[in-house]
Amino acid sequence: MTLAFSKEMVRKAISAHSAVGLICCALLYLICASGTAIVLYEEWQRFEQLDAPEMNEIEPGSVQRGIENVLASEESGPATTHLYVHLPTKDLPRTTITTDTQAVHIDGQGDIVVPEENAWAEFLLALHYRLNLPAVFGMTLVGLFGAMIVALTISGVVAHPRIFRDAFRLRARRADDVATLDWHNRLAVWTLPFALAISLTGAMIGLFYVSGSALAAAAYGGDSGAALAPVFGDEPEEDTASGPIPNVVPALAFMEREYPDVEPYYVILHDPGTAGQHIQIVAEHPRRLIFGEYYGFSADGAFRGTVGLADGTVGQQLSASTYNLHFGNFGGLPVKIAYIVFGLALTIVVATGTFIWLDKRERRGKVSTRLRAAWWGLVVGVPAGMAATLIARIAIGNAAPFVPIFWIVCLGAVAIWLFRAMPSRRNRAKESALPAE
Amino acid sequence: MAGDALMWLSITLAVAGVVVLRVSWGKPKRSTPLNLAGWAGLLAAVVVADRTAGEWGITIAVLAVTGAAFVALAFAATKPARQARARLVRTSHQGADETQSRSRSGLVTFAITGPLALAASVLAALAVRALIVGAGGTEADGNVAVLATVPIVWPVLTFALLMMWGRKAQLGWVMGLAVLSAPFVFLQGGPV
Repeated sequence: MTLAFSKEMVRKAISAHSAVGLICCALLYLICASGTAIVLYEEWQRFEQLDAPEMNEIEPGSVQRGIENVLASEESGPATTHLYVHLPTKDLPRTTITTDTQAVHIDGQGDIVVPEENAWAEFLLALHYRLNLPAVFGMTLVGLFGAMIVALTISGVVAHPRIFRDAFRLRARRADDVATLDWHNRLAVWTLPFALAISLTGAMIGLFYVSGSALAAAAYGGDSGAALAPVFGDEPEEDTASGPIPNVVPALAFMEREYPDVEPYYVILHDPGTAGQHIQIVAEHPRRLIFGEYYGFSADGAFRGTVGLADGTVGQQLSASTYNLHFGNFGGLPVKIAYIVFGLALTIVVATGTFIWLDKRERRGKVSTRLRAAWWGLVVGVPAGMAATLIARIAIGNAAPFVPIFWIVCLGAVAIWLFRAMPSRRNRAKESALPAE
Repeated sequence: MAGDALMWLSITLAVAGVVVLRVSWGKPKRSTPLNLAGWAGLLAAVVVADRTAGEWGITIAVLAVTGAAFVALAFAATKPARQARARLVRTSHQGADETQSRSRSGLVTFAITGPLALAASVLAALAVRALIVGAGGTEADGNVAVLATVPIVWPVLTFALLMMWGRKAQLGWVMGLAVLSAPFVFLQGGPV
């Protein structure tokens, strides 16, 4: 079975595929490699702080005590605008309270135990999400590259007329140009649904600063928050007059009583300690792709309703599904392992794509020694950089300067490979002694 | 649980579909009944998954298909290479550069397929929103349509533009899409 594209169309598609691939290859490789590593975000956090208190569940009363303890610890500073309680889950069985200024783990009784230390996992997430750049630039760049994976996928399919006939052909042990081509094509073909799912969801998230800003400018007078309100819900009017500490106990009890099939994993206090405060509980719905549903409560725990991410409009459900579908956290460890394997495959597809271009260039007689060396340097440098930052986390601690370490190792690897590719003095002398062709 | 059993059935169908296709595509001559059986297995896997657990189930079934294919590829990768080798690597890539024009400016191509095509895609996405809201759709659906349309339209447009050789054709498509979509920017209507 072959796809019926003309020879000319196939050639043009390869040309387009090469052009897009060459422009994007370096950052695309970095995004794919870091994305593969960040699938284990929760597991990395546990690894980073092995002594943090863990529990399978926590009593609502202990959550309330934890909130009161954290707010009491901040009495002398500026009041937090939001307070997040991460409830224990299967992947991250810890209760962590985060405010505008701190994040702490609490124990099963609600006592503050230790500050949260997960700087490496956060670094890795930021590397993938925004290339460690300011969000507006980094996320947009990553979103643009996500969209380009879509373009590469389409052009790759058109450029591959024997897509089905060769679907199981992998001549890996030839260890030559054909093997490289087979690795690229076979892994790309079989990861096609995965690549489309993660690139479309990634581009949707990353391009928010472009598409969301355009939407806000066209329909909401430039207010991005207002553009998202119909989807994720609205923030009620602020009332900064003083109020009591909100009571999450009845809200959590309500969830257990009325929604026993969902799993609350976040309690969010908006403007705690003010008259305008309110509570939101985010609960995971088993066997759904949505990250959860928002359950709204008043400060004294009276139920106000849901936003509609689980059963609202198609658009709401779709947008709530993008995060889990992108990061692979919707089916426990088996799905995470699948995402790691397919993410690695996609990373290999990007790496081999450039090697195929270099092979072709060399077959045409164009020497590509330095280009090849630089690409090898990057292919090795990105994982080496991530490994170096992990070693730094273990050796130096939470305050290690991850960003400079990563880039120094990464670019250092490129420099080393370029240096190794330079002809030695003796070889240069030999070459200059040869008669000119 | 019945749901669990049905999801396992879906995964089994997905794996079986891949195995049958592997057998079919490995034959010197393709077998239509085997091909149909393989595709039917994959289709049945998706249908069962959808009926059991909706979009979550479909995602799991697709991951199972990919996983099964990777196992088949792992076996293929361990097969010894044939001794005889072609002198030249014969691939569809050969001659790809023959279609490239030497005089084309990469910078102009980048400008057309990059920022210009992206801008046209954003306008198209806003047009989609206006049409959805205008047809009685919800504001949430319209807004999400904008966020979802840009990452689809822009890469498709970029690919289509790169397949064209004439600058006029490239600019015509980008400008055409932009001009057709632009009036809808004024029909957003603010919050509904």
